[in-house]
Amino acid sequence: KQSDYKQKVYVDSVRQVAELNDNKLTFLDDVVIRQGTIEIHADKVEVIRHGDKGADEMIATGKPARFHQLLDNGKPVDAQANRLSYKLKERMVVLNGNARIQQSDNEISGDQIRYDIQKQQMVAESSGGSRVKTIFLPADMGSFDQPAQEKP
Amino acid sequence: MSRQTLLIGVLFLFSLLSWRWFEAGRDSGTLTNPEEYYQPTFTANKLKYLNFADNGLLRNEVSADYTEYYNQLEQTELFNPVIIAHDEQGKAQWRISAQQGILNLNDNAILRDQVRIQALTPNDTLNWLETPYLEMDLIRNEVRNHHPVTMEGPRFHLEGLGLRGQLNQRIYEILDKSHGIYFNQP
Repeated sequence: KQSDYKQKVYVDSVRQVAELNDNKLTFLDDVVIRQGTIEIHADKVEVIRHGDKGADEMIATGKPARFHQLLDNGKPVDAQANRLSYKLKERMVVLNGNARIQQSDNEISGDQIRYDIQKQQMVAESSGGSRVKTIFLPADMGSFDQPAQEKP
Repeated sequence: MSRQTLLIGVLFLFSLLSWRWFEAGRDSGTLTNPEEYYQPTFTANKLKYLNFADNGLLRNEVSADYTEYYNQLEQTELFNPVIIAHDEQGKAQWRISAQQGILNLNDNAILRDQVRIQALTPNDTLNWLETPYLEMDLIRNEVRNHHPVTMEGPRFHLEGLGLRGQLNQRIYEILDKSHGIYFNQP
């Protein structure tokens, strides 16, 4: 939801390490992050500040790391990957390794998926032999915001 | 041997035993006046104790409003102690304060009641850390405990149970049940 981004980020975990010289916070073991309707579950999350006024980035890793959010239209978006990077200011989620995004019954999977939460746009890429796979259900063909070059 | 003689004998034996027990107690010092045992060897007001690293730079400074030194216990009791921890360049970095403290001979400090670590560098990522109890290694500038801990910085508020920290490397780890609020600037 649009209101998600103005909210504080709540983080629960077993352990956490603050490395002040590197401007980095690391949360370890059973990490749950909540920001409005956004919820991230992971084994480990690093929160890194890029530069002084720069954007904060949350890098979640897990088997897999999971991302969930309710959109303004009430539909859930669920994503998972071995590594999930959430850039707070840019409102961008980059999924790497067994990446998968599901919205309603539509699903995209690949090696890497870049999901722009704000614009509701996804760019999926694959490397090596695997291919990007996209599954649409006829009923949702129209409502799914489709990047130009990704024609099924 | 009449009953009377027997009674006198028992009485004599009892008094001999208690005299022996009383003598033994005095020799081993266990029965010395307990008050004397806990008297401080010396006391001091506004004590300041400087701890230098091998390179000659100041490692930390320990000060207290009032101090009692106990030679038998090999420890110093500190009232309103303040420890200033310096980094490896000798620059003052952290101010650690508490209501009570104990300094042991091997440069270990135990701090109790409203223990607070305050950053001395402006605009630091961490402003302060609070806990009811803290152990500090004054040689390695390391802190640890198994008590509730609260940490606050301009961008986060963290809580948890148990702490391990390396003051020079500016690394703090909360060991369990950690909960954090991260103030996101959209």
